[in-house]
Amino acid sequence: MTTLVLESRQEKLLNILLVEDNLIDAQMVSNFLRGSTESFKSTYVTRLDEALLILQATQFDVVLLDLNLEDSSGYETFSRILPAATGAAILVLSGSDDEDLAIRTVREGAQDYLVKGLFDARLLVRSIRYAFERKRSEEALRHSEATVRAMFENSLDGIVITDDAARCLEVNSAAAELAGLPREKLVGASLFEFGDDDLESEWQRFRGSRRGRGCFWIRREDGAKRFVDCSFNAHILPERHLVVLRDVTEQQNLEEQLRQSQKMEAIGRLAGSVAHDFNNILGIISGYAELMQLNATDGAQKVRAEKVLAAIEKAASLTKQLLAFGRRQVLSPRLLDVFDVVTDLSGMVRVMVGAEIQVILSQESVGMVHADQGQLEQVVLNLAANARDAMPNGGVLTIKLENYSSGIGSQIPSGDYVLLSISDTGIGMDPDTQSRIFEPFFSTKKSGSGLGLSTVYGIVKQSGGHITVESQLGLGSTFHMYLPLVATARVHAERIPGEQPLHLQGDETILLVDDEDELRNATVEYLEACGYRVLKARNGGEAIQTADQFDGKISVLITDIVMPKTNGRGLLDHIRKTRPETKVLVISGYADDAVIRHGIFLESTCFLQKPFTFQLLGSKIRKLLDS
Amino acid sequence: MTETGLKLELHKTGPGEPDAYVVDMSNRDSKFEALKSTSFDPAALWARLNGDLELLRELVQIFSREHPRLLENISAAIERGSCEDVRKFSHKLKGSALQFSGSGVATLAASLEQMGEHRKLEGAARVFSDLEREVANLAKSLHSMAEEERQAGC
Repeated sequence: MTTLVLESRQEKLLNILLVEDNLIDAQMVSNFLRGSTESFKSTYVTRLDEALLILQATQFDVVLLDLNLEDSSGYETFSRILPAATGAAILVLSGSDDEDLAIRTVREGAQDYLVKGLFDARLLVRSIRYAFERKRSEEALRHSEATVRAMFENSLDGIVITDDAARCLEVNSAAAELAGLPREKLVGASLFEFGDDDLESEWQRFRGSRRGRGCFWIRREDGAKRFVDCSFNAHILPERHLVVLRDVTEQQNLEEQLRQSQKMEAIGRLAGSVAHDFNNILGIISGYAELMQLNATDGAQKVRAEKVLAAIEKAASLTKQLLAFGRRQVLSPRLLDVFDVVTDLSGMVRVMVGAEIQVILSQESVGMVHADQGQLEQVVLNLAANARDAMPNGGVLTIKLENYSSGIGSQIPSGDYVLLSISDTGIGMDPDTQSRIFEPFFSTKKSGSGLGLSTVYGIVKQSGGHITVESQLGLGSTFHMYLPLVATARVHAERIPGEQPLHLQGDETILLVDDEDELRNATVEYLEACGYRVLKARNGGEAIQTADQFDGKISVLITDIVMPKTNGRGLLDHIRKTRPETKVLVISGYADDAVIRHGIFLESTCFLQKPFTFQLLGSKIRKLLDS
Repeated sequence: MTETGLKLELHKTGPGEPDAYVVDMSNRDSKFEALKSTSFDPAALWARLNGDLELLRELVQIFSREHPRLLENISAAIERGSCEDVRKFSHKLKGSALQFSGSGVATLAASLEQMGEHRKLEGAARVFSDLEREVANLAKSLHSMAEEERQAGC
């Protein structure tokens, strides 16, 4: 092996391996290189095995290769050295003016093929330089291609190269996964096969604008739909277009859930506000109707007053449902065993749904929740009624109770829940209906009020729980209610004792505060008729003034919460300080955030929700006074 | 036209393939007219060596040293009927002859190479005999050329 360091005038010293067993050729080539103005460092070997050995240890820029050596000849020499000389430009020097061999070696990686006797020093040097530059360009291109290929293969986004007709020519694995097809099947398929009808027009629009972005639904091979954000670049090469598809289904779903939640929140606020105002009006009507009833001079007057009161009761029932949806009703939550509630209710459910519907109770022993029993019963009954209506020709209603732990990734916040699921085998719902079922006044029934499911929604939400629905047309529906678990062990749930009749008369002093003049006046009239002494005020400030100026004992303070000027909370604080013996009865159109923000502890014994009957008011007052 | 007197024509080929070079030997130096024959082109050799007498002498020395061994190898291969060796050694001699612009030797060596490649050695001995004679002539011509140039240089 001979190593010659030749001229070093060039910036880049090319490291050349000469593989040649003919001394004359080797001498001539060496001399050509020595005489050139280029910088070459030349290493000379005569055998292929020597060449392979040295190529393992040294990186050469150029290999000058004679194909016919002592230990190898012809194409075999080239094919054996090619994988060993990666990174080096191979220049074949051959005594054979063999066109086929020349083309073959060049096609497979040789940079040039020179025939002995037909090149001189200048041609050889130029060929070496060109070969080196070509190889360097090829390497740069290969590097770039490898980078792009790695990005293509490892992208989490689906990447598709299509032709003019949107036929997939090249796809990455993410695209195949998105389409739900093996790559080999996706190649050759048209993008239109996966899109909705408007995809073709979108495609034409993209092509016209050369570059674009849009979102649309695609259908996977298995029928599932995915929502994709699509970036499109037309003519990245002649008749080649780049389509990048990002699966944003989850994001879309979350956004949709958020939109839905915001919509429900807004509707809830609106419904609650309307119900509150309406309740105040009902309260006035109810008050005067009761007074009419009490003061009726004949039977006909009394009957008319009773009819008014009956109508008010129906109206109050509607507003109560609206308040439930708006989560503005006062709950009386307590530690509750849902197992007992469902078991106790099952008989009523069976009667309600009728004999054509089979009711299956699938219960396991579950933990305790903190909820209002009456409201929870309403949830079960509402859903059972809906299930019955969804199965006009009979079917199966399943009420299932189980413990449930939600983890990361679930649409339900992490935590432990008691899961109450109510399923039917009825007509089911399409996605559009599902997205609206909890809206108040939305109904698919001819005679429905549209408040049943919105009430369910409100109760579950107000109980700190979550509700989801699964449904498919023709296959039925399942409502899942996740109620936060508060105790794992079953304890004996407290039972509310039944209401005992009370006499309503009294002679104590009551301070009544309400900003609704008509209701206040009617209430005063009623309470005075019952024998009480009534002090009245239109707001908190006036009430404080009245209380401070009154020397006697004030047995009960009856007050609204949200009032102009000094609100209920300010008044309560003052009374508790100055008259700690005074009992308090809060009356309100709703127990909204304002009430809760004011930190007023609302118990059923000291709260009365508008509209109320005077009879109920009277009994509450007596209960408070006698407790 | 290059400094060596060779006319190089660049022929563009198809995409992805290297360019092909065609050497036009038509413009020759006339000073080697006496040595010129149908089987040896001294002017072309001189041009390829860029008028490097030292290199010419080195190459002639190597050729003188190497060609007897090559001829011997070819002869032995013919005698034992080894087609592969006939092909291999003839190819090597052909390459050297091409470098020296010795077309006569190159042609005969190529014939033997073909015989070896096609595994048909009938008539190889006769061709070899012609080859020996051509090689001797080429060696003689090369020596004369080197001597002429040395004297001319003096």
